[in-house]
Amino acid sequence: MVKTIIKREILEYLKSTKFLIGLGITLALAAGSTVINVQNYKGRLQDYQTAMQEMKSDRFYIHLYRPPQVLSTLIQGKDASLGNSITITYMGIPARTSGYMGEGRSQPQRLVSGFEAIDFAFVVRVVLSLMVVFIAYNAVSEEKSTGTLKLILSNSVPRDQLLLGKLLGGWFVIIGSLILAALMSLLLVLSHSFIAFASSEWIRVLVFIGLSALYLTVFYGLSLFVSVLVDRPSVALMILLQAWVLLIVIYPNLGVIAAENLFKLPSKQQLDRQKEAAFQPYEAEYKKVIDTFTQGVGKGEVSKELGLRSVELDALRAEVIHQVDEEYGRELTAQTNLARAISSLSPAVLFDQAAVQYGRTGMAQYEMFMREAYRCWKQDVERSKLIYTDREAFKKAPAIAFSVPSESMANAFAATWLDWLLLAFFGLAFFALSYTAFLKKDVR
Amino acid sequence: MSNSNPILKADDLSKRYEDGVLALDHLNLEVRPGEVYCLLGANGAGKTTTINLFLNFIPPTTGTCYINGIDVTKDPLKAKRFVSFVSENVMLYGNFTARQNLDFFAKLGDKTNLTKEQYYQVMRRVSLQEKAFEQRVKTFSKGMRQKLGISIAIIKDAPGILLDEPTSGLDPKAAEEFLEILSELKKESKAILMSTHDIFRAKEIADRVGIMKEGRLVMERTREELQHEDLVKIYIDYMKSEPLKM
Repeated sequence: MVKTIIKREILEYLKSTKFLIGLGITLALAAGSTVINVQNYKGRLQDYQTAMQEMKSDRFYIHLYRPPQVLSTLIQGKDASLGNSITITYMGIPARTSGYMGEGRSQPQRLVSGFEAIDFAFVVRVVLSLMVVFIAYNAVSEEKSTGTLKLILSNSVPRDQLLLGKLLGGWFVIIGSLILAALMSLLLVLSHSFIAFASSEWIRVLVFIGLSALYLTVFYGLSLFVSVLVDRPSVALMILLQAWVLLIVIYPNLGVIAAENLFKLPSKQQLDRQKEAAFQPYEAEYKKVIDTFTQGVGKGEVSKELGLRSVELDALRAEVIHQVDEEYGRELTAQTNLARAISSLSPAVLFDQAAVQYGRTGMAQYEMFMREAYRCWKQDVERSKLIYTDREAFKKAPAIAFSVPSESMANAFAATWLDWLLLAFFGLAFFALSYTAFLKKDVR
Repeated sequence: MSNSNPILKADDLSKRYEDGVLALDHLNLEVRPGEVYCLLGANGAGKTTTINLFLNFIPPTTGTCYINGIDVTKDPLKAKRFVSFVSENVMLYGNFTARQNLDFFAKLGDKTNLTKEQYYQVMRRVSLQEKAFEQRVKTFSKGMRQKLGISIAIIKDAPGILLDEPTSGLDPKAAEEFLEILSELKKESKAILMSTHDIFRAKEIADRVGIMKEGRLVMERTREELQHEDLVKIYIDYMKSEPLKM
């Protein structure tokens, strides 16, 4: 019985114009965005490889580069927009990266804005979720309005089996569309010789497709529920479109606005004052040492002690400034988490947060890079002290090793388990509501 | 008409909706194999409510519906095995062909493994044009859809058939063809309960006619009795009479 209903549902969807149009748009957008993102990745990869060569030749300025993530071809996240480089000396470590469009943008872009990049994740989050709404809004309401529901239930068909058949039939079509779009995007990505996925990346891709399936299941459950509740398909579509706009566009951004107002961050002037205040105890000594050091350099007489102290004070100044920036970063993270918490009723936000985690294109990967840059700076400070304490050792000191660690799958799971749980809860809740409403539905 | 047990039986059946409206008031009727029972009445008289109760779409307030001796409320799935249903406006699945629609509903009626030829035979039997068999139903006229609807009922081969105003909106030729099919089904000992506004065709096909008013069966006549009476006049007299006291 269920098999018969599933088969009919699948056939119905495959024959419907709205599904074919939706699938066409999905595939076209998935292909277009993947081609563009692959070219973007290629450019960034070439820049990175060139920069890595240049990095070896300089001793005073240390340029650190953030490698582009190969999965940004599918889940761009913030990979291309946060800047890819940072230049450090023992005298300072910048608070944010530069390069590409990174200058001055990295901090505000921590927050979710919803429509940052057109990539495969966008196709799932926006296009496929809308397609789900369009194909499922009339799953039950149309059967009711045309009378076929009565005709079906005039047979010895249990209502739960009918709903299960309808549910699975539609779900198979939706997941089939997702897999088709994913396969096409993957083929486009892997057809380029400069791209190869390691086994960990394959696992991430599979987990991401699973996440996408769960996300679409939530919208399918919601659409089915509204379709069961409302007898007129046009009314069901109107309600669902409003819900979709609210969940995908309005609510996520409302969360950001609410968090910005509830959790105030210090202004740039306040930050500057904090930095000055933090270094105030050392300011007099710093000025004195720097003046003496500058005069000594002019005369060609800089004692070891003076040189060492100037490095120590420069490093201390950089450190206190960095600590203020770090504190600001922590507050920003707290604000982001608040926005996340407020927006966590939106499946789109949950999906987005988890997707960038698996693509390694979110803030987590960026923050790992910044932590590694700080570790590198600490090493550079120690090495710079050698200029005055052991010049030979300084000359022989190897270039500072820098490699950005990649976030492990375990960490990614640990960071996203709540997103998975909430998405699964929403999906199950909508299906349970659909089921209950359908059992009680007046089919006359 | 046979004297065997009734296939469709309403026993002291009443339905009062949540808003307090009494849609059906202590209805008693029986339809035996080979019998056509036509329920006449104005809109809101309780005809469709009766059919909805037989199909367990709504629960009765009092009384019981039986299909082939099975209490519909107690075991609806078993009871529905013995009844087919044709509604007023059979829309069916527009993107499916006539055969695909027939195939789907046949399977729901536990008729599996039927061949394409068997589906064609049923459609030929209801005089659906040959070229329409593999056409999408969305291109069909109402008459063609009604024929397909009765094909669905035929293929289920249940002993009872419920028809809810099946000739409403059909042109005279299509309605006449529809009645011919019903006559054939009657010969096959089907018990047919049909709600209709069509007094002339009811008189033509029915073995018994019941007139409903405000939820009550106010009159019942057999075919033999109607040979000596004017059904139209009786119907109009009942419709014009004072409202019943509830």
